Amino acid sequence: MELRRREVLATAAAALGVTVVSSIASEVQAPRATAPRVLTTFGLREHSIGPSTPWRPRPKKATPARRRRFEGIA
Amino acid sequence: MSDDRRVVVIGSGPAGAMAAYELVRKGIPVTMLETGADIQRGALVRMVGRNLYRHLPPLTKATGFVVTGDPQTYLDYNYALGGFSNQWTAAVPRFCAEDFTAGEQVHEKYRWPVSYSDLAPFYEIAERTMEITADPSDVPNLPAGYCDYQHQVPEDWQSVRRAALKYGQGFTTMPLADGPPFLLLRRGTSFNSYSKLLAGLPAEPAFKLITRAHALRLEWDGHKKKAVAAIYCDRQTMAQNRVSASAFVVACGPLNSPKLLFNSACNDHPNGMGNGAGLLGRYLHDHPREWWAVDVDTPLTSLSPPAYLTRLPHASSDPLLASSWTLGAFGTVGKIKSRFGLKTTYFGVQVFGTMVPEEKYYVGPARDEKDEFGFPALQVHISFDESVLNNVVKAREHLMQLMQDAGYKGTIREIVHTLFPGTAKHYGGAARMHASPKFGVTDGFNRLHEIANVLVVDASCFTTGAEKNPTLTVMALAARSADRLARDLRAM
Repeated sequence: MELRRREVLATAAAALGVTVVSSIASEVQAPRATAPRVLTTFGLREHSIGPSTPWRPRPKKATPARRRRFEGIA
Repeated sequence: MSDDRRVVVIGSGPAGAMAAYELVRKGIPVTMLETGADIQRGALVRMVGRNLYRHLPPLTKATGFVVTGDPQTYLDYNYALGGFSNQWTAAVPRFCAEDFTAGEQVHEKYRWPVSYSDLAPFYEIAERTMEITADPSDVPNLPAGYCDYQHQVPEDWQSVRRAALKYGQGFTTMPLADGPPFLLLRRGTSFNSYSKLLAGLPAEPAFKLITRAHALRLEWDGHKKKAVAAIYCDRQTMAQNRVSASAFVVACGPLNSPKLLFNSACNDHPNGMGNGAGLLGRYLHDHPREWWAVDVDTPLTSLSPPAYLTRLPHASSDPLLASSWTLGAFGTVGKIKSRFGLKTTYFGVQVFGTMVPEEKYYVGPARDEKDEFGFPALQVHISFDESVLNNVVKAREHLMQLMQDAGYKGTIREIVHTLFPGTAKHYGGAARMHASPKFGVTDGFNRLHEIANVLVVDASCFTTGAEKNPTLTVMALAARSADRLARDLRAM
């Protein structure tokens, strides 16, 4: 039931041309007629590779906290 | 020790410090000019070979720059003893042999005047000063270097290593100059180029350090046809002082070094020292950098020290376009977990891409604006083209595919947006090396083609930018050019 609800949501979002940012999209791939929209959030050009491109999370701004967390990797 | 042979080194970052260290070791007296006053205070708690807590001091916000390329260009700077080594992640991979030769196939202008074998002994000189943790085995596209501490990637990551090998890539421990396993420091990094290289040098006359000395320009002698003095501003009194020397090693960083040479314009060099062919400042390049977090469906051992996935083979990549991946644990808990071999489904990735250096990206004197010393501000013009950004996007997909081949389904959870110039702090190329003055500002020993007693030894000398962290290669090049300079000066 839950999966069905997610499918409907994701399909509806895709039909409206809305870029899905919620985590549901990572589980259900909505069919796409065209390449994903190019995002310009925070200046990043999120590149479309083609209709079969898997969903990717929207880039988040590099706040000082995120920067510290990631810089700590190495 | 003859004072006639005195060399002025400008900048105490890793490049300048390495050059000064080599010169003094070889009997050449050095005066160092450093615009900063002290090492920046930070904090480092390192236990059982993991940096459990690190507080990095803030960077100096750069002034005196005008951005005309990507408006989001980062221009952080660091006016402190030790330069950028106050903040760096201390990653020290060597370039591989092909990194120096791959560009030749694209164009003659991308031919480095040095080879890996020329540099190998100097890589080792630098590595022996740095207390590196690494895996001492060669892997594809990453030659092993000297390390004081050994670490192998955990056993359960071996399937990833095997999957990487099928693509011709290596998967190994990221070589890090992180120091001994236990440390408690009042600075943010174990390897600070001032502390490790300069603080232990013999005092005057062998080594003289002048702090708060902002180098403004080099003075040219039209009769002797060489640079004869460095003019610097004392930041305390704002008075201009002059220090003469037989040679000058410029290591102010990839943006400020060309600026110093532009400021040094004189009758014989009206467009700046080393700029007879109009190449000074041109071919500016940087690493596009991106961070993401990855979830995997099956837990894997937490990675600390981090692992390094090397680039795809040169033969199967677009010329001069490549990516490298650093995979590591988040936060203190992730690092403690790694000590006990505990597993996690979440790790962080840092990707460095490359860009093909092009003449259209440059630094140069700004027309109208002035810096705090009355010299023209530096115009910085750089942006990442579509091919560069696409290369980074492909890097995401490639790692996910590789993980899948290794039996793990990975999902990118979070991308942190840093895809604009300067975030990696890996600028380079603005005083590039080339055997021919037609394509380069400096020769194979970092000397200006036009003025043999002026050397540029920081990353501005890079002919092309490999996807690897540049600092170790910068230090090896600085050591090599200092070695040559010392030999030349002794022969005088």
